[in-house]
Amino acid sequence: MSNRSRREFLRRLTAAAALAPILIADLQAAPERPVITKKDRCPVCGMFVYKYPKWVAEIVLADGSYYFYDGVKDMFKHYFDVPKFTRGKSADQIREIYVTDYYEVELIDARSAFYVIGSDVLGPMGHELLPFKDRESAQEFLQDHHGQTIVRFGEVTRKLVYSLDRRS
Amino acid sequence: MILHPTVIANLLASLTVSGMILYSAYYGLQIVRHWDLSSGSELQLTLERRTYLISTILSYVFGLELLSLFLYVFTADSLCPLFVGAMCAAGTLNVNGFGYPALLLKMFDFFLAGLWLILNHADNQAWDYPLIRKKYLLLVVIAPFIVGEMVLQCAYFLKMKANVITSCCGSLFSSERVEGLGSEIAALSPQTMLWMFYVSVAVTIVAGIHFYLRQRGGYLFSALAIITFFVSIVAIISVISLYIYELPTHHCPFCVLQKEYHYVGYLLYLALFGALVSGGGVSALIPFRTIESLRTVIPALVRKLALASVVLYSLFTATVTYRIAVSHLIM
Repeated sequence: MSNRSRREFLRRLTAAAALAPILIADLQAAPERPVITKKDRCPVCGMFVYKYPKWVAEIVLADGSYYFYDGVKDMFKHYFDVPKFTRGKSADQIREIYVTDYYEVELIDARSAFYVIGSDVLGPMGHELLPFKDRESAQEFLQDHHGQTIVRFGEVTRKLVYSLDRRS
Repeated sequence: MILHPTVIANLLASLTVSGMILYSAYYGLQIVRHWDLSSGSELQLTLERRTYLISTILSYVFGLELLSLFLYVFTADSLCPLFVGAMCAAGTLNVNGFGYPALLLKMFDFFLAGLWLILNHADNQAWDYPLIRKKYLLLVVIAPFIVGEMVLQCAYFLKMKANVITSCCGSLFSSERVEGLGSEIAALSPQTMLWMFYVSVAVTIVAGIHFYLRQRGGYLFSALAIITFFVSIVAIISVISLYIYELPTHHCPFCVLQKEYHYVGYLLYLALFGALVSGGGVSALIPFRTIESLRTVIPALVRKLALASVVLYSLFTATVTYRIAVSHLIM
């Protein structure tokens, strides 16, 4: 190793050492994400969620409790009737809602997602609302999979969610 | 049809059972019509020899029939990943119109097969074939049900299509659905149902112990054992399931059969069906206790049956109570 490259190496090492505590502190500050275990069940249908990682949705309440679902449909059923499925909890306690982007397979904010309904892709519970993080991918999916329409979080109604169960 | 090993096992079991029972019922009919122990005719000698063969065949075949109820449910449970919407046997049985009728008929046949085995066991203890006409008459009555079960089961498995979207047990056994027996049971008040269950089991166990000790009230105990079976099934759907799943809205009687719940459902249903058959067997045998050659056999046998029923109901209740005690459900 030449003198110059050794100096360069030492300089980088010092920089890394200086950054390390900041990085570690940053990691510690990040809120812990709930991890799905083999015991987590959808509070609406009772399915074990770990079996369907591509369809996971999640609601986090203000008291720190969290629920996983095996599809967006069941998440909305819970969202519309929180005390029915989880006694003692209410809708105003909901802090965060996540859904799994169908293309990226990563959790995204449910309130900003775009949902395709009426497509030929079925979830573990049959017809589903398929979530996408942007309108372009939702549009692409709609065309590829004969979807009917794209809806936003605020446009999803209880009637719409339950009508998905009745499609054959 | 779905070529899964368990489906083939079910079809083979059902074809074997119905084939063997038709064969036996044919000779059973001859025995019912021509049996005459005092005669030394060639026909009587042939029938006497044949009854040993038939009785042995039927012991195994009805044994297989008892097992096949659990095989059927196990199959439905293990096929559920193949159907969209199914998460347990409830969804798989709903993929076409034959699944549930076949299950109900299998449960009925389970009871009849158990009774036949009990009658046969009592008959084999005596030297003069005292129940031979009765047990073969019962066989002739059972045969059409077994054949019907085979037809329904074949229709169910052969018409199974993988592209069907079925209903999840969450909606089949939901207290909010307007139609369906499962939903009506689910809508019953859980607290009332739990009380009914415990009172019913307690009364049955007391009646069983009373009968075991005093040999009185056999018919009453038998009737109670049968009633308690139905009360228990309703209680499983209405309230026990809620405690096991720890979910206030999940009433499914099939999810308990899954690995995630440590297969506790098999224990519960084995105890329940065993208690039903042994309890029902008491009243099937009591009418014959005056027959000379059974005078000592039957009282001992019905006491054993009553004890078995009491023990099995106690096992069922203890398991249920334990699951309720350790449950985190907030009602």
